[in-house]
Formats: sequence, C-alpha cells, structure tokens
Amino acid sequence: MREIAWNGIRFTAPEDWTPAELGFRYILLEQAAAPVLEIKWGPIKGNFSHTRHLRQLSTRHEKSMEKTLRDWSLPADWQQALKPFQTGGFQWQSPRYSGIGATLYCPSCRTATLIQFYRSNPAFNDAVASALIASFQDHSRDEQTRWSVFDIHADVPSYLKLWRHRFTAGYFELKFTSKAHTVILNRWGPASILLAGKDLAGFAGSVASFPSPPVMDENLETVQWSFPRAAGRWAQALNRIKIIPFPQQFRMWHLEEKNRILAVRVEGRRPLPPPVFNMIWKGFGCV
Amino acid sequence: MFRPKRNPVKLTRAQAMACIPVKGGHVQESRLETGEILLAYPDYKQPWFARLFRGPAGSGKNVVRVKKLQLDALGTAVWELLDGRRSVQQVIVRFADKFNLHAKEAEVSVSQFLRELGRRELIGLR
Repeated sequence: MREIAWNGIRFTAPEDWTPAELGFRYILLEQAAAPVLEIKWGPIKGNFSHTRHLRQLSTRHEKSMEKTLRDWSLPADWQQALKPFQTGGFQWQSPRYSGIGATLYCPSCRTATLIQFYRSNPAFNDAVASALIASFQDHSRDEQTRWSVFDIHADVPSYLKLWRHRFTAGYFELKFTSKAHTVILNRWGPASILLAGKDLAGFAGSVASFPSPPVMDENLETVQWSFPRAAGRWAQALNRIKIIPFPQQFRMWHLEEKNRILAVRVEGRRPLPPPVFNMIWKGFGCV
Repeated sequence: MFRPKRNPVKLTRAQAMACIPVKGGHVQESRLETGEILLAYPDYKQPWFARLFRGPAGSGKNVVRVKKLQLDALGTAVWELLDGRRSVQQVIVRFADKFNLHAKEAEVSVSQFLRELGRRELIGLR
C-alpha cells in the first residue's frame, strides 16, 4: 500500500493503483488500464443530504450513462472507519462496469466526498476497499496540505492553493499560488541523462534564467539562488507595480540514488519567509 | 486517392503490451561517438517531385532517398532493448529499471517512442 494525497484528501491504496486522471478535486485511479477507484470532493454550503445527492446522481447518470443507482447499506467496518463523517452508501450498474460507493460529509471542514469503487475491476476486493476507507482523510490536522502522487510527495502550507499541475513523462510540475506568492515544485528525470555533459547549475540555467551566479553546496548536489532586493527607491517602486511576478528564491537539488532532479521556485513581489521556504523544500521529495 | 482506407487493427492494452517489437531489416544502425545510435533507412514513400527526377523506366536509375534518424540517449536505450524476443511490456519494465523511472512514466514514454518508430516503419509488431 502507498499513500496518495491530493488537494486536501489522503488515503492509502495498493501500489499498482495509479492515477489515470487528476483534477482539482477529482482523482481516478486505474489498475491495468481499467478504472478501479474514483473520488470527487468539494466544499458544501448549507446542509448536506445524502438522499438528495443520490437522487441527483441517479437522475443524471441514468440519462447519460445508462447507469442504475440504488441505495446500499455500508458494511460494518466502513461504518466504523467513517464515524467522523455523515455517510450514505450506494451501488450502481452500467452496461460495462459496476460498483459500490459512499457519500461522506465532514461537518468539521464542510466537505462532501463521493468515493466509488469499480467492482468490475478484478483488482477490487472487500479487504482492500476497507483498508482504503479506513485510511481516508479529507482535511489535514495542521496548517499543511500533503501532496503525494506517482513518485513525488510534498508538504505545502495550506494557504497556498493549487493553480496548475502537469505530469508528463520526465517532467512533473505543481504550481501553487497565494495572494503574495507563486510556488512551483518541479521534478525531472532521469537525472543521469539530463545531467550528461553538464552540472546541476548548467541544467538549472537551461530551465530558467538567473541574474547572478548560483550558490552551490560542497558536494555540488544542490544549487540555490536568492535574488537580492532591488537597490534604490525607484527600482523598489517599479518592482511593486510589476504585473508579472519575478523570481525570489530558487533551489534545485539532485537525488542521485533516485535519479531525479527536484526544484522549488518562488515568485512574487517579496521572498517567502526563510522558515516557510525551508519547510517546503525539505518536505518535497521522491519515493 | 480513391483507394478505400483500411481500418487499423484495434488492440486491447493487454494485447499491445504482449506484442514483440521487431526491428526492420531495412534499417541500418551506426553508433556515434556520443554513444547514441543513428538509424538510416530508405524512404520508399517518394513525394511527387522525386518522381519527376526519376530515370526512365528500365534505366535502373530510380533514386531511393535515405532518411536518417538520430536517437537520443533514452531512444538509444529503448532501441538496444529491442532484440526481437522481448515484449513491449518487458521493454518497459527493463527501461524503468535502468533509469529508475515510475512504471507509468516509463510506459508512456516507451509506448510513444515505439509508436513513432512504427509510424516511420522502422519496427513491426509481432
């Protein structure tokens, strides 16, 4: 089992259940190219009613996907694991797939979640579903949000909201924003190919431009730039009215045993406080 | 132009993964100083202007253009794994192990690369 954490929710799933689709509040996991688990979640204003949501889902799905949806009573171990939530269960059947699921409402963070397992996938079994349900959380207990998909994991302050994500072969990007800052987490691989014929500073220079030479650590596995505050009143005033945020902090490091390169870049009108920046890059890693 | 188009055979993912990629016999490979592989292959798909410069029928002067494709380090690694015995799935696993890649990432990049080689008719699937 491995942890999957995305935009507030986290749970453990079997190793071979990998993300096939990631939206801002949506995850679809597949196993051997067939869907196996789907989760949607979102904030709720006002009261949440399982019956009303099930009725809405039922009307929508029966029309568009020839799905039949029915109420289903949750097994005892699910009910035990989901005690902090208001819950309801359902099962569905379509010409291609069939599944079971639950709607969860967390009164403390006012988030509603829909979890459904594709029973038609041979990888599904009751024990795995129960273990996954038991590990499910829809909010963090501190001021940080956990991110863990594919082979990367990161802990990011909760006030930084996901703005963009990109997962392509060899290049991952998670971009977060707040009112004052944009924080970008990057992962490149395989490092042995990307660093052939150049060092880490050379590679960093090929992915971003920097006004000053970098500061490298002794073993040449980390490069760091911090951009000095503009000198002079006019330059500082000009920086304040710039629309495009400019780089403030950048740190790139090479995980030799994992064959990966990771980087954290901060853009904005002023740098992140050093403890926050350090906390972000220390929490960003590869499995 | 008026020839009816053949529908390509649609494979399931499991069938595609079990296929064995085989290098084309017409492809010549040479290794560069950098260790990367250069593929040279005749281009039989002559554009219309090549036909204009073709010699008269029976003169034996039909010109076949030779195309070249230089593989990068990753492409070279995949090409070297194609031995006519390993299936696509086995190539992906070996490639992922060699570069310590996530399985999904290796699958996407290898299958894209093999599709490109297939489009250029440099490999076939058995």
